[in-house]
Amino acid sequence: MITARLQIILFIASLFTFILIINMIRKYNLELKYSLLWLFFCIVNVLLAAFSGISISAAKFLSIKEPVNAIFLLSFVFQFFLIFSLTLTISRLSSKLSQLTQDVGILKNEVNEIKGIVYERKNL
Amino acid sequence: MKILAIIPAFNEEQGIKHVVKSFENIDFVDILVINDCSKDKTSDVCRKFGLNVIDLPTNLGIGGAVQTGYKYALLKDYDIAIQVDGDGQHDPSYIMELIKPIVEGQADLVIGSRYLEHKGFQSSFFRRLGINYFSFLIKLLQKKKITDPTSGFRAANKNVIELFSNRYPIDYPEPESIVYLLRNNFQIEEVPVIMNERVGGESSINAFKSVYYMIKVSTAIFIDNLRKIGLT
Repeated sequence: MITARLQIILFIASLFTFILIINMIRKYNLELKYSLLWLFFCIVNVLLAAFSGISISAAKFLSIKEPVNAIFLLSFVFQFFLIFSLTLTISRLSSKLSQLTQDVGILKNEVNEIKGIVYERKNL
Repeated sequence: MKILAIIPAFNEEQGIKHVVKSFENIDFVDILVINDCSKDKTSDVCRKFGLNVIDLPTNLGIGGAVQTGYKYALLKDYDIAIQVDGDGQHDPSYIMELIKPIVEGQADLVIGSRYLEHKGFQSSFFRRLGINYFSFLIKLLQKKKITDPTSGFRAANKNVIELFSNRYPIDYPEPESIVYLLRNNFQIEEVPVIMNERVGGESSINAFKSVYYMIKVSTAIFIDNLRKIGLT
């Protein structure tokens, strides 16, 4: 069973985290697009803490004895998705950065051409 | 008056031809196409028609592409910047009506609305549901009735150009940018326009993305409402 004390602690902690994240987005420190999963995670935590019935049902469904353990497992799974989404974002960013860098390199070369820097191959 | 038409385009090799045709007799507006890293011949088609094009090195989405246009407008000191879709849905013959409130000093941003007079292409049922929802949200939070908050057919004056150059939402920017302007006490007006149905290409919004769209934009609007006036 999940104790009342743990429930209160979890509730306050998740609510506080939720407010913290919203505030960072408000101040333009976080991009909403990438924070949505975190916000969803906080909301789920708040609900889990507020309604112990959810964790008990989840534990029953997963055939786990202790509801707390079920919460841990679900948390791990969620963290996996969170971190994986970050990996996905990094992959996309990396590819874009590559493209950008190459374009800049080529642009610099063209600028030199405009400046009249002529490349004349010299033999050894 | 220096006027710039910002035309964001992603894979619109068909649509651009319609855009060129629609601008045929409109010579008081400079055209700038923002090619958002299209995979098709959009850029070539633009050059073929002698259009000024910015080829973005990576895909930014509608928000980033349009913001590029605003940055260009700021750089080249344009008085008015007009957003026109690259698929031929918007009719440039409405430009005079669109800029009228700006010229008369009545508004900072003017939105061409399909729903003021309910004429022309009115969008699918679900789209209209979403649009009514955002209309309601904006009325609730900023006390201003905007009938077509997702319209990409908009004209902006110099102050808005500068603001958008510095900050513009990255995806689904239209409703959020409206709340952003209203919060900073900018004047927004709407004029009735008739829009056409999309010709060729694909719309960038589909069923699954719609849910994400609704959640994300609603959240963004609520959070923007929390920001104090002047926090840009």
